[in-house]
Amino acid sequence: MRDKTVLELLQARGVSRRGFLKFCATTASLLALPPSAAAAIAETLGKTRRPSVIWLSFQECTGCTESLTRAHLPTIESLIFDAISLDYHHTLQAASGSAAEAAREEAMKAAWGQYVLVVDGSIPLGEQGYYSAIAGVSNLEMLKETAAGAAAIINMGTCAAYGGIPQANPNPTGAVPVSAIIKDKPIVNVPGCPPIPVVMTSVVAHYLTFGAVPELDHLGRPKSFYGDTIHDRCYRRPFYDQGKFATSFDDEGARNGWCLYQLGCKGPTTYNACATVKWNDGTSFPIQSGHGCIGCSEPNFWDKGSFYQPLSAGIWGDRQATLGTAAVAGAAVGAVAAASTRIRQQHASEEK
Amino acid sequence: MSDSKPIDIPVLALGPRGDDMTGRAILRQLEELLAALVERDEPGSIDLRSLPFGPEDRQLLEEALGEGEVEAEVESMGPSRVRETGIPGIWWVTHYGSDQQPLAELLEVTYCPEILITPSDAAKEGLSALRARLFESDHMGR
Amino acid sequence: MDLIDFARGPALQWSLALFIFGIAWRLIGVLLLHRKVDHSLPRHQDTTMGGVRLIFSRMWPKPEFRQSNAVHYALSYTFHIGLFIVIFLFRPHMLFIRDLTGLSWPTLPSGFVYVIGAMTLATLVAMLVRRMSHPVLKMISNFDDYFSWAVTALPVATGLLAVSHLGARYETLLALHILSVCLLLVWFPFGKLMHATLFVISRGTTGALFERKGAST
Repeated sequence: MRDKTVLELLQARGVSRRGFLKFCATTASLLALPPSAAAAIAETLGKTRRPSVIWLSFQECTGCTESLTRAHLPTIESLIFDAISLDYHHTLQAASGSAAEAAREEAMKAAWGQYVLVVDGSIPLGEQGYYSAIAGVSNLEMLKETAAGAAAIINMGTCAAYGGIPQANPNPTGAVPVSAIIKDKPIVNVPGCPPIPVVMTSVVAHYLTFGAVPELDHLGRPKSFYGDTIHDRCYRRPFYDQGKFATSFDDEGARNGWCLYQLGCKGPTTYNACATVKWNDGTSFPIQSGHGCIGCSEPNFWDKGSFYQPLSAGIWGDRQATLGTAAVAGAAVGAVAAASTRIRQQHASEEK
Repeated sequence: MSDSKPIDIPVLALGPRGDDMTGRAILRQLEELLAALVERDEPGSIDLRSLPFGPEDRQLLEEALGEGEVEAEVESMGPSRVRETGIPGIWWVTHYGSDQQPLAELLEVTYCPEILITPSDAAKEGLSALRARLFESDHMGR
Repeated sequence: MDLIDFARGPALQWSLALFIFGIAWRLIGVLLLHRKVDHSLPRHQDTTMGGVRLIFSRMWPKPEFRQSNAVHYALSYTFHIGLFIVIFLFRPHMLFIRDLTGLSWPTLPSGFVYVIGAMTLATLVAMLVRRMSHPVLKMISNFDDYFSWAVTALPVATGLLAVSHLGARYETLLALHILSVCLLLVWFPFGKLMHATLFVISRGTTGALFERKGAST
């Protein structure tokens, strides 16, 4: 199987040449590539040998895998990803225990230096990394060992990309993202809590197709999916411009589908494809279902104040106390200043 | 369960901008692409999903391009609808997933979209399949 | 901590505290000042109305100056009203104040506020050009005037850049916008911008004094 090309393997699974052309066209569209890229994708996949993907799950909730298994099925990118390439994923594979670990070692050996390492979950550094371990191997150990032979690393979900919820204040396990440990490999971040399924499979398919990481933004995210804010692509955006806002979750504005800015929507500062690609086979996304964006594809989203506080509000604890103290202190200094001026004036008039 | 009534949240709002500027720009680009096809034999295409494309733009394009003579359905990894517009050489191609969800929508400027052409490998397989059927029917004694 | 979190958190917190501290300091300092006893015979005993009247009458030029000051008044009114609309009638700004004070009020469509913001900025630029080209204005202007102009114009400019996504990513522009407001807040009580509160006191005092003397205002 390892010697066959991706196209041959797809054809063996009943994908016709036309189906393949269609996949190339839709992938180019999804990745925001020019339509002419479809031909390049077709040519590459016709020559590329079967790629190998190893998926490691660390300090995570399995939400990313849950999301992935709900990808629009059966698409070719999901076929390329899980049916053809996935060699190790301890939640999805049938093998367990030492057989599973043996599969990982075998896959690493067979494609050393060429496989794609997918990580979901953050890595705890506290207690020598033993807050989380698999088969007696700490996450930290396993990441270092597996990353050493990887051609590239794809971080699935906000935990692997930026630390996510495990890293949120007070971060009891000392959780860090992959990029804090691995410095010498190309890393693609696919954040989200969880990421959109088709975004996960497409990013993997993109790497497998082109053999290179896609164009990334300054936070390591593919620009094709994380290039615009939710707000800029939101179907409720016109209401923001018209000044029509929902002021509670069951008022007239909420029923009319007006902008959720006032209810704490983080759409303006959140880069993701939810507003365009949507969820559950394109059914909807949080804002369409009446709830503001919580900003889950951004670093530290859990510690950026309340999800229900408007974005324009300041974020610090006890406002009244801070500002009240400032007012009292200012009044006191003012009184002292006035008193000293009065004393000076008195001296001046006595001297006359 | 509580007896509260479900709230209907309207999900259809205005188009991206409420005008047809994108549609007009696409028509200009189509003119260039069609000229390239006619003069230099170069096919091209426009990905409608890569643009801020609203209902007004769609309406403008549909009215300006009109209906042509050819309409085809391709069934492979979900349906694809291929139709030639009223401007020969411009094809409106929509690919759907197996769940009927539109995956990509393209305006292809070409003499015939590639997805309609029978691949040569498939034709070879077709030839052997046909010969096998002829062989079968010969031996059925007809 | 990224720039936007710094701006929304510690930067806003400290600049608002300094703003309130400074305003309390200067207002209390001025209000508690000793006033000289006026031994002359008052023409009017009750001077309150005179003070109130002057606060409003000085908002409009005297007929003699109406011609020569028309441009100045027109520009000043435009940008003051523009600033009011932009600061108080833009929903995100109202929400910022509501978060601090619990007060809320109706606001205008965001698109309309953007236009007013652009007009305000243009007027501010015109005022600066006038200040730098008018011989008398130029002579009586000091650092305080130019710096106060800058800290007023910067939030308008950065706010417009943020809504139009020009020059950088939105969250960066938003952070710069908030930081420019922080600068405004910190400078406000200690520079000429304090006229926004002190004009009431100075005009009121002058008006009351004139009333007592029976002078024409």
